[in-house]
Amino acid sequence: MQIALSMENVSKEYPNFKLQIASLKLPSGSIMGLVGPNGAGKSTLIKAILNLVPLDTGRITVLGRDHLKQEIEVKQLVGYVPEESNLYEEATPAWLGGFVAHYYATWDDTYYRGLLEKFQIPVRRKVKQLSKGGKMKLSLALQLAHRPDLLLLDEPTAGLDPLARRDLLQELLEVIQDEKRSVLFSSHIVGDVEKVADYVTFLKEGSIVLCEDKEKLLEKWRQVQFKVFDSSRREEIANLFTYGKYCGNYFQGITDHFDEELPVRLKELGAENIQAVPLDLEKIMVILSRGGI
Amino acid sequence: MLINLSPQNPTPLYRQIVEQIKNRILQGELEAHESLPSIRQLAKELTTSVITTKKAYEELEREGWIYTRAGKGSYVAPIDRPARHEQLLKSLKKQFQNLITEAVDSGITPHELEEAFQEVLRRYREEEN
Repeated sequence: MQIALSMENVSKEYPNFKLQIASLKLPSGSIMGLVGPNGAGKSTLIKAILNLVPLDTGRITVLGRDHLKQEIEVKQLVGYVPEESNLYEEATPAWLGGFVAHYYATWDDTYYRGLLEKFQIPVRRKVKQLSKGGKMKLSLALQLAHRPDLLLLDEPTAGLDPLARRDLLQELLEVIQDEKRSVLFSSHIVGDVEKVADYVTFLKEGSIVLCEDKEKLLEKWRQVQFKVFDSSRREEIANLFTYGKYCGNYFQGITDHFDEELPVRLKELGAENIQAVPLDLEKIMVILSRGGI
Repeated sequence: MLINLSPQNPTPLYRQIVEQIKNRILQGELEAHESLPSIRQLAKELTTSVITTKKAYEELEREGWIYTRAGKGSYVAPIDRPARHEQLLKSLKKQFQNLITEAVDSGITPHELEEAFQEVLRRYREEEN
């Protein structure tokens, strides 16, 4: 399996914040969603890949190429869409296409024109006359058109209406139709990540709290509730859960390692009326952010 | 391929895909050795992740509904009807088992259960006729 992106022992310290990534790997052909509360370090992490944020320690590679020693090559392979539009306000999409094309050997102008049409961006209108969603789609088209192997998107769906968000997610899935290409995108719209991401990385205060295959994650996390009357077993039962609380004889718990054995074990310990319900990614994120239920 | 995913449904998405493809195979809508879309195509079609469609196909393969040729794709497996019938009965019994456990846990006696089952079945037969 080829690795599109690898980060090892990466750290970057600011006066009030420290990004510290022990290890992060994104396999080629997949989409990774980067989630976490505001200020968790999502943008810093993305910028570090492009050396827009110089690291204190650590190593980053894109398709095996060192992001410092082979910086230009890495930048050719990467498409980056920042959170805030950084396009010349006075320029038109047509002019920008010609401008950006100079920097990339792999620029595909037919594809670019096709994307503008698909995203319904008028070729001759100035950037400043475009809506926020329009600017985002234009930035995306500019970055897709050089067919990057790794696409980095910082909050691409923020401020887009539902239809535009769906188009954008569809486009990300289009990118990975080619198994050599990959996408890393940050979002605090967790539902978007849940929809299309293969891997979910959860950042909190600069560190990775969780990084997992999305299907496994959704399978392993469960909210479990039941009744217990035997008070001598209460503690032993609570210890089976990652988070939990009693409310009278009722127990409500969250586990991040659910399997068929758990209800059996709970029953042995005297639990009754056991109900286990799946959690969506948003709930998991809230629990992780709070560190409890 | 027409598949409807409902995120509100508590059934996991991959399982919804499995069930719908399975039903299409059982109804003969998908025929033996017919090729299925690739996991990437299907993911795009459904606006869902590749890992979800991959898991669905793996599950379908494990259950014997489809087979995969390396580098070529996935195809509908021929159905062995008697074996399938046997398997359906087995899975039905397991569902009964769960239902019974749940009912007994909430204080219904096995005798009451039996009567309730007979009653529902009787009504179903009457409607059939």
